Amino acid sequence: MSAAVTLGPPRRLGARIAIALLFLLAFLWQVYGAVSNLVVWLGFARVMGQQLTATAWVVLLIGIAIPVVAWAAGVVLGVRRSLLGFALVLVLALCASQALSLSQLAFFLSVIGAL
Amino acid sequence: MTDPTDEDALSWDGDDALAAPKRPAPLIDDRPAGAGRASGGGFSLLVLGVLGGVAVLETAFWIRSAFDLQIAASVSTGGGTPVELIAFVLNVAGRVLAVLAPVVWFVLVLWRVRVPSRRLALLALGALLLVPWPAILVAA
Repeated sequence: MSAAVTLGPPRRLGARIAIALLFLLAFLWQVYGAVSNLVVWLGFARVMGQQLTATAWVVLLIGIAIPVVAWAAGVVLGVRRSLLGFALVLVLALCASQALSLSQLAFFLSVIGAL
Repeated sequence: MTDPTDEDALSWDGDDALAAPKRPAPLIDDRPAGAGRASGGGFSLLVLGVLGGVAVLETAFWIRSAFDLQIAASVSTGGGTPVELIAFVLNVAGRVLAVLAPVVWFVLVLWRVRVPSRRLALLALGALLLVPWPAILVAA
């Protein structure tokens, strides 16, 4: 069974793709921030003549993974719902992703002094 | 008391013929006890209230987290160039979404999820997932 059949008429499918791409921009902004964070800390460690520890790497990579996983989960869980339901699931995923990213940042900032 | 002629004005000739035949009331009520309402009963309402309170508390701590010095320092207008201003607006919007996350999760799950057990499970998941760690770490 093709996706067009299961997801309704092509116009609806196009609207779903548009919604998913629109939200993808917001999630990509988060990814950009997380990658920037990683690059800045790598440079900072190089200036200090040190290397990031494994813990720091893991925490910073989790920061990159959070928005990617949130967007994918939102699309997978919401794609079978109505257009409004799909958008609401992605709004929820974006809110949760932002909160988790802040938690990850706070955790990194609180433990970085001990690394 | 309403005037019977008022109700006559809202009906058409032949309405009675179109109406579905009335079913006789069952002699024995064979529904299981407590299966009447979709909300799941008193215990479900109690848990719902507790989880709603948790969502409000988490929102309050997320507000505090957003204004935490270290976290707030990651949002800045920089040199004031257009790109930096756009980045600032997007970052502030992100903070607002993070603050709203527990309440948005609670309201959307309450509104869209019909099955009581699934609703409670999703609300509990949200309460666990959206713990305001920045405020907790600062307090610790």
